[in-house]
Amino acid sequence: MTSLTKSIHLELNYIKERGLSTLLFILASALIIVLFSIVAKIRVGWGGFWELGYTYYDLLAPTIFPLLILFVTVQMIVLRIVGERAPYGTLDRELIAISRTGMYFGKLFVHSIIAFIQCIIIYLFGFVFFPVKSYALSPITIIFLFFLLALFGLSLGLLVSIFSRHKESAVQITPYLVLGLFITSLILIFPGVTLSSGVKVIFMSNPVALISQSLSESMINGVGFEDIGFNIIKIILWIIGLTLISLLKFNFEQK
Amino acid sequence: MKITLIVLVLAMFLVSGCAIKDCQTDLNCFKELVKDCSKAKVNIIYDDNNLRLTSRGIWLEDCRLSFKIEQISEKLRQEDPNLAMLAEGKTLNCAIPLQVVEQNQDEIIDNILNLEEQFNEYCSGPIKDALQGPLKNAVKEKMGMNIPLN
Repeated sequence: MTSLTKSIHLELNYIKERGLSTLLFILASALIIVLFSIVAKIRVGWGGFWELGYTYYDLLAPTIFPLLILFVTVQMIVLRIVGERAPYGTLDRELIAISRTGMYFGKLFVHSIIAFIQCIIIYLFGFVFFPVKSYALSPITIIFLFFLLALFGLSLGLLVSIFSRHKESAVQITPYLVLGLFITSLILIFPGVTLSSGVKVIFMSNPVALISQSLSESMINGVGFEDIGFNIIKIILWIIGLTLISLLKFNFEQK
Repeated sequence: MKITLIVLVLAMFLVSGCAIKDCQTDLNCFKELVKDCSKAKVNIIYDDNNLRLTSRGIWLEDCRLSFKIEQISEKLRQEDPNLAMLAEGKTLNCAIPLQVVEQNQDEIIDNILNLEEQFNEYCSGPIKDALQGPLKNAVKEKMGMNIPLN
């Protein structure tokens, strides 16, 4: 067995042992969508949305759904390395048989499967059972954007996990990171908000903003991949960048 | 190494499959390409309004055409800010059966640009909903009727 397959087996065992807590993680986001769809059924009275019959649920969904995905994915993986470090964890023993790169990608791969299931459940609850108004050309566009953000969340979670010295610091920093990304993306929702070009570039490089904007372009304006392609490239670069930084740090710390 | 190669080939396949020929502002180039429903896009600029037509190719025996209001002129924006906010960035996505495309060719684009009601059955999207709402006349008069076609 290669390092990667060993790491995948270990991670799958970990997930199986904690099946119920993983299930709760995923179902919590579905429950939030149900509540959100009930409380936000108020017609929007500005920006021409009244004429199109938009509610706040329809308008805010492209921002709230990414927040849910990011919260769950980062929380799910943030302790997978720092929580396994000595003296309490088994990371050192596992690293005797598994390479650090294999360990990293094993954890990322297994959690990507869980994250994909979460994306499907969010899609089912948000677009089928409690349907948000959407002009998206295909469900694949939406699920693809959800999954890209999930991958970003997982790479961010692993980055925090690798860089943190203690479990406590990883747990404490996570909500601030997620909320920071969410709040800076909120500015995009409100019409008439003018930002200087420098600030706008920073805000628009935020991965949550990139996904929120792509989702709202797709769901509200009905555009296709050609209009959101640049955002997709940017978020893929984010994922690659975070993965490289994490791998460098993780491999460097053994020397 | 094998995995890297597979990923590269897949990426190239995806990129080539998604590539859309850009006709810039040449509507005739677009009309020529759309006859067999090839992937193409064209920008039509009139009175400082910027409209984009995209042919997304064939999917399930339908020719996919899309019409997007990219930018509203400053004049129109000042005249009717509500309409401008409502219309800018919105699309009309049409799935037209291949038989209809073969029969009508040039007329299809003209009909989409002029927002002809006969295309109701093939098109959907926010522009269509806006047309069915209280802004029907305003959108038709200001956005749909004066487009110069070749």
